Amino acid sequence: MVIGLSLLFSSCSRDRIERDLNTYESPNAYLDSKKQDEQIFVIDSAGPGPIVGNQGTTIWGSIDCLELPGGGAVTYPFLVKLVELYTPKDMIYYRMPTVSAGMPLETAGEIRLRAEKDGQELLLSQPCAFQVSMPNAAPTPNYMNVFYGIENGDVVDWTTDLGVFGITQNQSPVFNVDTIGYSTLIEKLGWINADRSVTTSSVQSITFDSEEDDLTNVMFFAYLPGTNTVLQSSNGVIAGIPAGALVKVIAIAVNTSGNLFHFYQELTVNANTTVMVVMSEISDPNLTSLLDSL
Amino acid sequence: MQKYLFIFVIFIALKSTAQLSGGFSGIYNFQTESVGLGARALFREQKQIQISPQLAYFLPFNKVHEWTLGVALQYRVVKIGKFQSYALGQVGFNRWINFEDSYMKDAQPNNWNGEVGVGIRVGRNVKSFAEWRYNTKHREASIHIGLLFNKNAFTPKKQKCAAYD
Repeated sequence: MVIGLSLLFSSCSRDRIERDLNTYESPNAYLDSKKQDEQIFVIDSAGPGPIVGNQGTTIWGSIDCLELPGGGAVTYPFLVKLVELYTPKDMIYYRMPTVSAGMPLETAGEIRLRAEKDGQELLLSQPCAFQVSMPNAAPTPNYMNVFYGIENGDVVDWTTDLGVFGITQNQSPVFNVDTIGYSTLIEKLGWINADRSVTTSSVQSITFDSEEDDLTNVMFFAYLPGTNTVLQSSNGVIAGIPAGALVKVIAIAVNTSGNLFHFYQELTVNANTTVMVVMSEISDPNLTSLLDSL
Repeated sequence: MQKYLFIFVIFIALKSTAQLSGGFSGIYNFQTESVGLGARALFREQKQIQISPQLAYFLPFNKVHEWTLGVALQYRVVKIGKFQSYALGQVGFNRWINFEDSYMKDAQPNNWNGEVGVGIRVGRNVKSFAEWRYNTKHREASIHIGLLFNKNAFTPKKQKCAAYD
């Protein structure tokens, strides 16, 4: 009888008073497996350059413009590391939204350019700059500005103000147009973004709710095709959406069995909006195709 | 099936009113964290198999507001003097009043519930009882504690007249 009662107790259910929601785990591991690799170039001698990334990012620089964190001179060999994010898919995989102080940015691409010597991250000596050209099929002259990434944990905010990093600006903050695309002289290594602030009368937000899914670990992104803007949720809310913008919302999560789930919806956001979410299972190729079609 | 069994057992119970008790109880459902009140009758209480129609009502302030009208068959396992222990099974009609407040996907207002459990009872004219029950439909456990009174528990015993001594 004791065994029987124990079995009955162990099978008791609180379904009538508790939400019986589908639960998910963070999709970070999946997104990491899909994100662009950091390309590493070993620079072991002087040469004419340039360094060209897989997607066409072109970099001209000099060892004389690099210094160790304490200010010491750099010797060969050293490493140059490059990440290229030119599509909304790659920005989503890398969780690199285009937002500056909560306001949306129109982007022509993001790169992460670093240099390293014996495990130490190198700095650009002042006043010195590397030339960077970011590929673009139809660049607009005097349109995109140079934004630098402020890294705070996993979150990167974008700013044009080099003073934030204690650097005095000597170069033009506006991208030129060259045969590759957008070209500029960067005065700081790290995250670089060819951006322009989106002009809007107000910004709205999307809140997410669900009657079927626990959204705690679901990651939400919004892509605004009109401005090539990528936004990411924070605490279940996507903020900084220009009023009247067409938004493509995509949610990604992985369940406890490791299966991939998603939610996709297109909507025009004229006011703060709540979107009801129903997650559905999707294969990796189909999700990849969906992100490619954004 | 459950409703026919319910009607059949009620019919049998009403034919055996010689050993009849009635009473009330307090109820606590561990899973829904709800408090309820119960009323019941008990037929054939000196027999091996006893019949007990019951009404349980879980009050409106609870997370689950409902009532259940059922009939239990009790099988006496031990009887020592005034003490009895028994196993029970019950079928009952359940009206879940605030089912719309539940997040359960298939919540319904009208349900036929089955319950199994064990109980103890002590006393002769006034009996206290305690039962532990398991609701097989909703998979919830509850405890019932109460009192039962024989139908003549409060009837004064006939006094012999001294004149006939």
